[in-house]
Amino acid sequence: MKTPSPPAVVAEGLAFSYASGGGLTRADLTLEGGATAAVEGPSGSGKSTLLALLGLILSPAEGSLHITGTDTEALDVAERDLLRRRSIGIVLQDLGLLPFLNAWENVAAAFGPRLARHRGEARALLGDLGMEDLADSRVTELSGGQRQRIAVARAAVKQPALILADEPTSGLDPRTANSVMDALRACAERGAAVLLVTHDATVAVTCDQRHVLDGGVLSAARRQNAREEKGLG
Amino acid sequence: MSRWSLHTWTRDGRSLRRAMPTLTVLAALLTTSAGVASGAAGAVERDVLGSGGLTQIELTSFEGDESVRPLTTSALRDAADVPGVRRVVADYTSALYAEEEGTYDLAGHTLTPGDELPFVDGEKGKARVAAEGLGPGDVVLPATAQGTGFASLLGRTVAFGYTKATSASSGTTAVIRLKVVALYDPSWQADGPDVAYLSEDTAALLAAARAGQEPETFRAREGARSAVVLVGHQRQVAAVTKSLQGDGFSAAPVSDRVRNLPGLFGVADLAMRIGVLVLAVGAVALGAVRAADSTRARVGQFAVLRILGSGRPELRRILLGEAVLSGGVAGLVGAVAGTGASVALAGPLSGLLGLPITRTDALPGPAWVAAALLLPAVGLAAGTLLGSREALRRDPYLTARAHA
Repeated sequence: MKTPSPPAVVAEGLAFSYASGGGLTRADLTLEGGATAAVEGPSGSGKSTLLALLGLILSPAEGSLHITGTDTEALDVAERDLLRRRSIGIVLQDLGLLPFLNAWENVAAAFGPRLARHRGEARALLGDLGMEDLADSRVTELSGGQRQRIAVARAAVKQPALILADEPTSGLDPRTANSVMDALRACAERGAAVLLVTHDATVAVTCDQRHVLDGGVLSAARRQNAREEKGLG
Repeated sequence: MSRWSLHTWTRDGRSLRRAMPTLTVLAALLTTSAGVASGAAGAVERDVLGSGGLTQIELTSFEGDESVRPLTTSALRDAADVPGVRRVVADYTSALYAEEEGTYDLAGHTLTPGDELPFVDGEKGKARVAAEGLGPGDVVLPATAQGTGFASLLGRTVAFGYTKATSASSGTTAVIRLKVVALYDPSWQADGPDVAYLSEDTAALLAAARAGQEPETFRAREGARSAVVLVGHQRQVAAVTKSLQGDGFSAAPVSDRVRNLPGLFGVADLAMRIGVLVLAVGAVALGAVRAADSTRARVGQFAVLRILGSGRPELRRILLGEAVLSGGVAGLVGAVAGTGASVALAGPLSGLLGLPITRTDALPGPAWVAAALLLPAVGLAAGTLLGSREALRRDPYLTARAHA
């Protein structure tokens, strides 16, 4: 009998506070592979802190966090870096691309500095996103939507178990925003758990789970399952 | 070094390669100075040692210093009796004036074995002096002095005036007739400008007259200013020097004196050491400033690399890699350019010093080249570690968002 894969994320009672104030008071979340989840909330509510905790960039002050079944509490900094490199892809808001690399090199950078080794994978993924012609372009010459799709491609190219996206459609026109969301949904269809932070309700409503972060506390949105809401479930 | 360093160093204008021009100039200056100093020192050393300096010991008297033995007749005889000594030649100083033609006055010195005069008629003059030695009635003059040319006097016996003291505060001019046996290039000024070289006895005669004494009395009581001791073989120099020092003489091998290169070359050596210090401190300071600037400008980029899974140690290795590449290239280019410059300067320097300086002479020593090659990289790396600490401590996620 095939052993079921552990959830991509299991967070229980996650909390973190900055010395300057603010942070995250409590977050409980379980996200299976192939599922999409949206986290909404006002500015300063702790959304970025939540992403940094789930991305293993910050260590929680309280609570537990399992990524693909690995208890992260026992990991040292180097092990956390390694787990992030292997299992997590992060899409930063708007930018996060390396300006001295071209489009395909930015995607291949997810594997590390041996860019040429991963040229084929990077170019193929850009082709899937309709950007094959722009693969050799400098990222500084591309539009915001094109750069955002490159950022998604970089997060997805290693086929990680978890993709975290911070405001992936912010500042984009609806058509471009749709193409970015299509790219993220394609990642979920390939088995990745996708969690995105957004202010855009039209984006959040398309996700399998919908959460609200307010005052540092993460809770399920009133209408929890967007698919059911839309009659798709 | 991280492989990322190759990407950032070659493609990112904000990388530490901005430190290269300054470090290249510093490394080139150090190498050029080392080559020029080496060329000049080598030429002077070869010139002096080539004239028998390896088998010569210099004795010096210090008037008023009782701890040093004066170079009197008996003292010089004792020196000559030291085993291994072939000959002792004392240098007496005096003055000669124009008596018949021209207006000039010349310093009188004994022609000692260390004086390898550049005769204007080349080998003929050298052969004449070497074969016969300077007799009591001979003199060697500079080709010109104080506007007077002596070419017409060569081979002639000429009257020279000199001072003969008659009391402690008065004197009279006496005349001595000397044959001008050779002329030398006046740019050769090992004993100062405008020097007439005489035999030891004639030099002592003139020095004694100026002191109002008979030559034998003067030599026995006052003594010579300095003397050159010739030994049979250079391996005996150390033992003879020690023996002479044991007898109370101020004795130093000419080879040591030359190799220590006092005066200008001593200053050059000190300047070189200061140059190394400047290069090292400059590289560290430049590294600290540039690394602080560079990491500040690229903090968002480093945050992205952190998010992509690079740990802080790898970010440090990226910066160190950039520092090593920048410093290494700067050191290499600087050392090559500096060596080329010093070799190119060999010709002009040769003319300036009046000594032949070969291109090989002008090659900087290996220690200086190693310093020029390594210090930029090591210094820049050390400075980078200091300058990048603050930026690498920042929270990458918030930093990346802030720089988005």
